[in-house]
Amino acid sequence: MNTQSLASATPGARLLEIERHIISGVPIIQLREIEKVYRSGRVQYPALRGVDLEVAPGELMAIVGPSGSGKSTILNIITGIDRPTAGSVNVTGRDLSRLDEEALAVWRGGHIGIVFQFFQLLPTLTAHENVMLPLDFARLGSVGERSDRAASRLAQVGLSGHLNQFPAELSGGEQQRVAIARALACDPSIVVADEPTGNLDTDTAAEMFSVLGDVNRDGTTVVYVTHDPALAELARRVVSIRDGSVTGDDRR
Amino acid sequence: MEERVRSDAMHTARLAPNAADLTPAQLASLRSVDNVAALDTRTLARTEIRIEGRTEGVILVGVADFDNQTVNIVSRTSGTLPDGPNQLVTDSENARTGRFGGSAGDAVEVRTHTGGWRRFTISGSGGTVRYSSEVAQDAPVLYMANTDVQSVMNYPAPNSIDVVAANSSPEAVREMVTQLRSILAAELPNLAYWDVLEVWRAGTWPGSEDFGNFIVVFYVIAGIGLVSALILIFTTMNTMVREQIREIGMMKAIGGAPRSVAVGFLRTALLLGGIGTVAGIAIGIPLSNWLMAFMSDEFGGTHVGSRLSVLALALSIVVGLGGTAAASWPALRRAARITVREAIDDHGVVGTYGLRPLDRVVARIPVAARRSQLGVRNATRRTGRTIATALPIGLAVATMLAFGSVLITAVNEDLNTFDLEGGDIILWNRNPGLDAQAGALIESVPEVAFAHPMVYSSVELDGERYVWGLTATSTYDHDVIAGRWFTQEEADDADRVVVVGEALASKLSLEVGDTVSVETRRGPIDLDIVGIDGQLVNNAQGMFVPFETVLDYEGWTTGHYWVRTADPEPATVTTAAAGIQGVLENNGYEVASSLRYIDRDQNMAENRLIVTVVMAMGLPVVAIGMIGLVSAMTSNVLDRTREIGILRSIGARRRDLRAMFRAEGLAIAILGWLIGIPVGYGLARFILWVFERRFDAAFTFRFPLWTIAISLIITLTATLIVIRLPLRRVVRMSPGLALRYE
Repeated sequence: MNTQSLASATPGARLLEIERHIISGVPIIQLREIEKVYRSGRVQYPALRGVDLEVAPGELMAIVGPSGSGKSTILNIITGIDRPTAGSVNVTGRDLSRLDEEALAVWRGGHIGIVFQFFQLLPTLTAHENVMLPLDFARLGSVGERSDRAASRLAQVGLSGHLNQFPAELSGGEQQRVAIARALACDPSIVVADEPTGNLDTDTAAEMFSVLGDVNRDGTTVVYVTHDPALAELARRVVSIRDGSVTGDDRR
Repeated sequence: MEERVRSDAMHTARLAPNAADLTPAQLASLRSVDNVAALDTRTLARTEIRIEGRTEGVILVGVADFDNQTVNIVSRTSGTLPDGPNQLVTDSENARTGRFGGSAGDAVEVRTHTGGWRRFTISGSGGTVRYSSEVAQDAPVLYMANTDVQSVMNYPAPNSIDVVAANSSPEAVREMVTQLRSILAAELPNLAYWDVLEVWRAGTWPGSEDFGNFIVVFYVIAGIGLVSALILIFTTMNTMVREQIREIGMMKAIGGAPRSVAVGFLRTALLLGGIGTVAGIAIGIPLSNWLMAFMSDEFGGTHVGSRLSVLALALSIVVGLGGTAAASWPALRRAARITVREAIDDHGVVGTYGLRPLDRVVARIPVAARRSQLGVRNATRRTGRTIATALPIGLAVATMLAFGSVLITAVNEDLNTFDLEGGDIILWNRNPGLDAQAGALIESVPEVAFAHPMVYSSVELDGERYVWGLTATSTYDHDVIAGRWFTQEEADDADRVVVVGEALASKLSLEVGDTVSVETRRGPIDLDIVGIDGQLVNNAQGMFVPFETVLDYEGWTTGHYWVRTADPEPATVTTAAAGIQGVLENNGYEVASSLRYIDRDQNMAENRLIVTVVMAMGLPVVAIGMIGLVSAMTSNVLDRTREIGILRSIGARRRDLRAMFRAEGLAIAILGWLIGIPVGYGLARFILWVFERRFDAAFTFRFPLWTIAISLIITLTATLIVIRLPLRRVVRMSPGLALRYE
């Protein structure tokens, strides 16, 4: 099996990559004239209509908008989970249209951390194994190194005492912390989160944002989607979407 | 077959007098005995024919009058029946089995009693059920006029009286035979019998016992197939309900009654069951006809035509539809009971993994790669589905193991007989017989290591029993488990002593020291039991008597010879046989020989054929198990579509997903394999128990570990092949679509 040393995926290496983007002035995320049309039988539904968006390295950005406005679709385009119907996507210096599904999966594993709305942990794996999973997929380091890395990520989100618990044994907030630890496992340049607090109570949601804030302070670009104006206020940049178009871009 | 037995008027009883020179009045007297429906005399003989320069042993069956046959009627399938001397009919089975391919118009040279050759012309082909069966079991059969057989063999008169009884109950037949014997004793005071009485009970025919055993095997296969199919229907219907849980909720939300929901699924199940039944009947009719043809050829030595049993057809329809409805019942009940809330809340897979003790146990299974770990754990997420999938696989494995075990046991017993005899060549007694001088000549051949006279005989002792007349030091590899083998002195003095097979001793409660009274061709004799033999020759029901003793009570003067060569290699055996034949013929002995390695090979070829057929019949069971696995794996893939999307999102490559689902499929298959081992063991024991009861025999049960290993390899290989389809679905899923899947 090909394994990559964990050293090449350390925070130092990631910071170098971010610095490269900053120095070159190249945005870490660049969407140009993105259109996305979903088709279901004869019905066509335009989700995005000519979206242009640039995100600089290290930004903490919220995407807001009503349900069905296209927020999650933008995240899916950024992460390569969905391909645009038209337009170009360049993330971490890669033109995603040039990558096939397999290459996209590998690229995501190395550069993107995703936090889903319903946590989406693998129920048959413990918290520790869930966090190790992206490292396994990326073949990063030895099994021992992966285990240590996963444990340290769980400690980072305050779950060092829950390593061997299955998701069903954890609370919603704890599950979301594991999801964040999993997203951070490979030291991604970008963390995207789709309604990360949608299933959490207000206090737990606040805790969650504090964790994401810490991640961002370490230099990681964080993009999250929310429909909660109060949570959007925590970001330094808020992009508003309505009917598939960017209707506002508020930098603070 | 029973129709064939009736139309051929197969004999109920056969008396085997040495020479039944009966006048028409004497024959009429025999035919007038109570219960005699038909009676004919015939002449049976063994000799050789010459085909393309080589000789081959044949059985000659004489017919009193081809135009007026009443018993064992030889019917014509091509050409004509003989209408004069020097004509013969070749049994149709001769050509089918490849033993002798002559056809109408061909000339055949038959060895006469003087050693010369007499030319016959084949007038046609045909056969009769009793003697056609000898072709597959023994040698080619040729039918000719009684007078021709007698002149070829220099027999003074027919040597077989074949009788059809009106009432074939054992008591009635016994009474009839007693009367016939009494008339014969009065009319022909010096009459001796060359063979024991042959009786066929109603519903039996040559090969019927093997046929019946094979039928038992097929009943077992059919039963397992049915159970597997029912489990498959059960899982399919459950999967269907599971997949449509939201639709069910929706139907109920808009007023659908539980009963109407269940009826809707019942209709679907019956439609599928109907299609399956029609397909099964379409495949089953030709398959069953082929199978019957194969079995009747193999065991009955005759070919039965195609036919369709209305009863079997009706039963198939009832089982096809009724079984489907019954197996669908749990799924229908589940569909009826699903609540709207349950349907709305459904998220595909159990979200409580880790709370059951089983989950903790499975989590401790040491699997190196995380992907495989995931697969193994996923197999236990839906325990019910996994068990329902593993069960048919288990039954398939059990079928493989059980039939493997039974066949290995049977083949082993069969081959044991060859090995236990220890001889490489059998020299058959001819005229003049193989006496001590012949023995010395045989041992003078350089390739011969050891030769001794022996004789096969049979006596009546609660049925016909084979008697082996052996020397005190023979090549037979006996295993005396009680008492002793007979001594040289006992053999020299022709003492009435016997060593009996273990199963026979057990069946008749015989012990060392007992005296047993047996009926020989020449009347009853008493034999003292000196030992019990543990070998399985003749299903452990044989009797071993000193060679001289058999000659004494049979009134014979010579026997056959068993020869062990210096080297059992075929080349040495063939050279030895040629050398023996040469030296004996130069000294005025006629000789026919059997090379045991050829008999052994032929036997193995027949066994291989039977093994292949049984294995082929077991294939549907394996197929059902594998279809169940594909169905379950497809359901698992659908259930976890969103999970696949998540995995792709966090960097899983195609090979990671493949490894994960492959491990899951293999885990289910291994569970099935584990279930299959004890079930297969039990099934093998059961089948052998049935066979032992039928044969009155004791088999050495064999369940070799290597068959378990092979069954694992087959199971895993088949699994890897069949799960390619659901795996393809997994790797082709777009992560975006997978994440949006509901």
